[in-house]
Amino acid sequence: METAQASDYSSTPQLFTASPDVRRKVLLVPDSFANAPLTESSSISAACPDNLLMISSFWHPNTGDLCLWAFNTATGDAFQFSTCSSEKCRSWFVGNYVMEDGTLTYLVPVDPLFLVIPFLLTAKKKRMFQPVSQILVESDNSTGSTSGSSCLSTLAKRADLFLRDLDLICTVKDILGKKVVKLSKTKLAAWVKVKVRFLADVLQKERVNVGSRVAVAGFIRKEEDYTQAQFEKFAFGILCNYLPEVLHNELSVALGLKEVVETKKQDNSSEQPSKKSKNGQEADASSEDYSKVFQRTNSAATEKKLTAAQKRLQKVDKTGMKNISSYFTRSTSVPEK
Amino acid sequence: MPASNTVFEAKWDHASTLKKVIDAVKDLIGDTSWDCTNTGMSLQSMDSSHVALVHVLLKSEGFESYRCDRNVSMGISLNSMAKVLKCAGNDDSVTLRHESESSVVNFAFESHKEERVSEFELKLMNIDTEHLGIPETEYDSIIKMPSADLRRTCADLSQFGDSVTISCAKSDVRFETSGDIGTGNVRLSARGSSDKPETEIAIEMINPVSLTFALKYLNFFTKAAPLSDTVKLCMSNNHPLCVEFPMPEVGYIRYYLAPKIDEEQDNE
Repeated sequence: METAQASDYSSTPQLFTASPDVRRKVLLVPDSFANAPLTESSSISAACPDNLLMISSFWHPNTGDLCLWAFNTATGDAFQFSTCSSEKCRSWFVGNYVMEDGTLTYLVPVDPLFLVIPFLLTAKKKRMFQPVSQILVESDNSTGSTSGSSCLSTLAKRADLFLRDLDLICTVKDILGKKVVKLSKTKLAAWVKVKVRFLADVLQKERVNVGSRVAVAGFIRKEEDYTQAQFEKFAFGILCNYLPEVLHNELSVALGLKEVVETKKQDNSSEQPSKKSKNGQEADASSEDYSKVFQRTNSAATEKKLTAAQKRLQKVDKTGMKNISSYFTRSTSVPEK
Repeated sequence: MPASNTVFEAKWDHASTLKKVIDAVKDLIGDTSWDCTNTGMSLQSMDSSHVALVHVLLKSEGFESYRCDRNVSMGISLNSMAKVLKCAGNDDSVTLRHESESSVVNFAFESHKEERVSEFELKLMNIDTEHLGIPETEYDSIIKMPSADLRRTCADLSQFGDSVTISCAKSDVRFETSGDIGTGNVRLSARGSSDKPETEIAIEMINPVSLTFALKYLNFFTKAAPLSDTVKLCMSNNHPLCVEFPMPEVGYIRYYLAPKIDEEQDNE
């Protein structure tokens, strides 16, 4: 893999000269990586030199599949490799050469906390406070990928850097000078809520089309007014791409976003986005319909028609409230029909 | 109508009680099933978010006449039932009838003066209900107070915040809330009243309790206030609140609401 450095995303990428057997790709990287030496994740030790770009495959927090991530070991930022390949017939001119592969790869900054949520979630089932390194290492044993594991151990070793904001989603305790943590769903909900709000603000500012008939996110058919709630739902849909699926429903309830979103019929073909990228990655954000997450998580709710009063109750902030059935025993004595 | 097919028949003298019961619960639970046994009619259902539970019992003694030959479960949309009951005058008598193997329930309204009889059929629904066993619990604190007081307190405090902390001490109970515009608290002291028992505030406390609840839910619960002059709040730490509106001789409506628990406290 080669990288091309660009002063910012808008300028033309340049490519290093390399031997012809190397597969060339055009990659846009943020400013902070300019001049950063490149390393394999396996060569990372606890004492990393500053400003090091580390590329490693790691499990995607939503799908669990291995995909490529980049980590900045100086700032503790994480980036996901995303590919834009919506146009088949495209090539790059690089210097005097034509590079056949016309895909554009770029780095999307991702909060590293997203990456460890699946592991924290597994550890939470044990109902114990554990040191971060133990949580990550124990989960590591159960999975098979070596490159993912070495990246995980790096994260564990340098938790103070990559996971410095861990207290935002975890309850942290100090036991005999050792920091132990446990995922707190209350904190997680609050953390996601802030992210949803930021993202919704940006969507609103950029006038992104968040309706269900999104063909191109930047294209607004006519002056359409979306409510703040619609922006928040769309934003939550985007964030759900980085959250384990088991959390989607729970968080949407906790954030007060769960309600009947679109009552329009799904089978109406004109309601579907007119074009959908066949590439399954979230590379081409404009063709993704993030409001779908709601249609999926709400499928149970939409079966029943909710009254206005019930919708008001759906919106109530329910953080910290357990399912009422967890307090009572299930009885089987149901009168016969 | 051949009487042999009718397995369930219940008659109220006045439609007003049944109307108020349905009005008190229909906003929390949409579709539910009424379980009819020879001791009375009852329903138990969770709200759509599964944080609150409603339990209604209408005892057979509360009816003018009541007959239930075998246990039946009738799946009914409460909103539809409210629509049907709108067609009844408050003083009309109401008769509910269900026949064996039938997919409908019949409502008959008879006015006492004008000899007007109206009959309606409501289609039953197939509802999978999950019944929860609610154990008889020894609560740490039980507060008995006028239902109008609770309604007013909840309505007042919901101007300020989304959740209320109810703290019960030996001689008084405090409702506290805080929100963006400020804070509010209401303190009710125990008071006895021999001539008007419905206005007394009585507190039975074994252990002091302080619990936080979503105010909006409490506001919905107080819709049952027209049914009962008094209300009982039963609380234990880390247990759901039970708000009971007793209807003497008729039965009761009980609402259960999960408290808001700080996860860190819960872990300890």
